[in-house]
Amino acid sequence: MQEKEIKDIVDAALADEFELDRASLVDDAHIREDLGLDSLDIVDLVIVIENAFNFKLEDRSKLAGIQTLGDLYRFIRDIYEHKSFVEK
Amino acid sequence: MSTRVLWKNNKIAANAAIFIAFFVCALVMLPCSYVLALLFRLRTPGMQRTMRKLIWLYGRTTLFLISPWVPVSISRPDTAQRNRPCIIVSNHQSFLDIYLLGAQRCADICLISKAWPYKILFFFAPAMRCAGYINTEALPLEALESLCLQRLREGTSLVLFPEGRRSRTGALAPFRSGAFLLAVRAGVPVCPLVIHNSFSVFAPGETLFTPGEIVISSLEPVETGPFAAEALPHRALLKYVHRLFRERLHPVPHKDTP
Repeated sequence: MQEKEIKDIVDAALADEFELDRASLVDDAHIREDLGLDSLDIVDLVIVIENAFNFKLEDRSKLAGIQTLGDLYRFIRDIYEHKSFVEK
Repeated sequence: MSTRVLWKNNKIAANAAIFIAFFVCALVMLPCSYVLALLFRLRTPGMQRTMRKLIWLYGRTTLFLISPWVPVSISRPDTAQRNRPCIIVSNHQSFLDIYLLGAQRCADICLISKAWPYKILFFFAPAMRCAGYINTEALPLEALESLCLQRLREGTSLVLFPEGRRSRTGALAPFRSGAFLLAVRAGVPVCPLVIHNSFSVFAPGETLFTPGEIVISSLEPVETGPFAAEALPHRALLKYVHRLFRERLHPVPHKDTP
C-alpha cells in the first residue's frame, strides 16, 4: 500500500471517529498533546485503525510506542511491508 | 426609574447581589458539609447520599437566590430522576454549570471531575470527598471505571462534562468517550442536559456576571441498546449525543439586550 493511501485512510478515520480537524493531522502532530486523544481514545484508536484497514493486528502492544501521527503512518506501512496482520 | 429596577438592571448592583447570594449559601452549606464530613470519617451509613443531596440543595438554593438576575428555566426537569440511575452529560461553558445541576430534580448525583476543583476549591473539597464524588486523576483507569460502575449499581446517577473542560469560546468542543463507555458498560441511559447561555452570563476568566437568562434543555434519555451492534458502541453513542448537542445548542438572546 502506498504511503499516501495510508495517510488518507488514517486521516479520514481519525477525522471521522475523533472529530478532528483535518488541518491538524500532520506528521509531527503528537497524538495526545496536539490531537488531544486521551487514554481511552488510544484504546479505541487501535480498533478504529483495524476497521479502517480491514485487518487485525497480530501484536497490538507495538502500538504503545507510537507518539506522533508520523509514527502511526510508519507503523502501518511496516505492517504492510512485513504482512504482520490478519485479514478480517 | 424605581429602586427595584435600578437594582435589577445595574450591573454592579446585580453583581453585588449575586455575590452576596453565593456567599450566604456557602456560609450555610460549608459548616453543614464539614460536620457531615466529620461524621463520614466515623463511617455513618448513608452519609455520601445525604451529602450529595445537600450539595444539590445548595445548588438549587443558590439558583433561587440569584434568579432575579440570572433566571434559569429548564425543560423536562425530571428526566434524569425518572431514568435513574443514568449518566447525565452536559456541555460546559461556565463554573455556573455545576450549580445549574440543581435545576433538574435528580438530587442523588455524583460528579466525576478532574483533580483541580479539589485543589482550587479546597474549601469545598471535604464536601466533595464526603459526597463520594470521583476524582478522575486520583485512580488508575480500571479502578476509576469500577468505582463509577459501583455508584451506578447503588442507584446513583453520574454527572460528566464530556468536553473535559470549560469552553473558552462558548463553542461546543469534541467529547471525551469516558461517559459513553460507562453508559455502555453499565447499560444505563445517557441523559443530555444542553445548557444555553451560561457562557454569556459568566465565561471562564470573567470577574463579573452579566445578568441574563439561562435555559437548560433536558433531552430525552438516549438508551445504549441501539448502538450495541456497532464496532465501538460507546463511540457511536458519543457521536450521536454530540450531534444532539450541536443541533440544540444555539445562543439565547440576552434578556437585557435591547
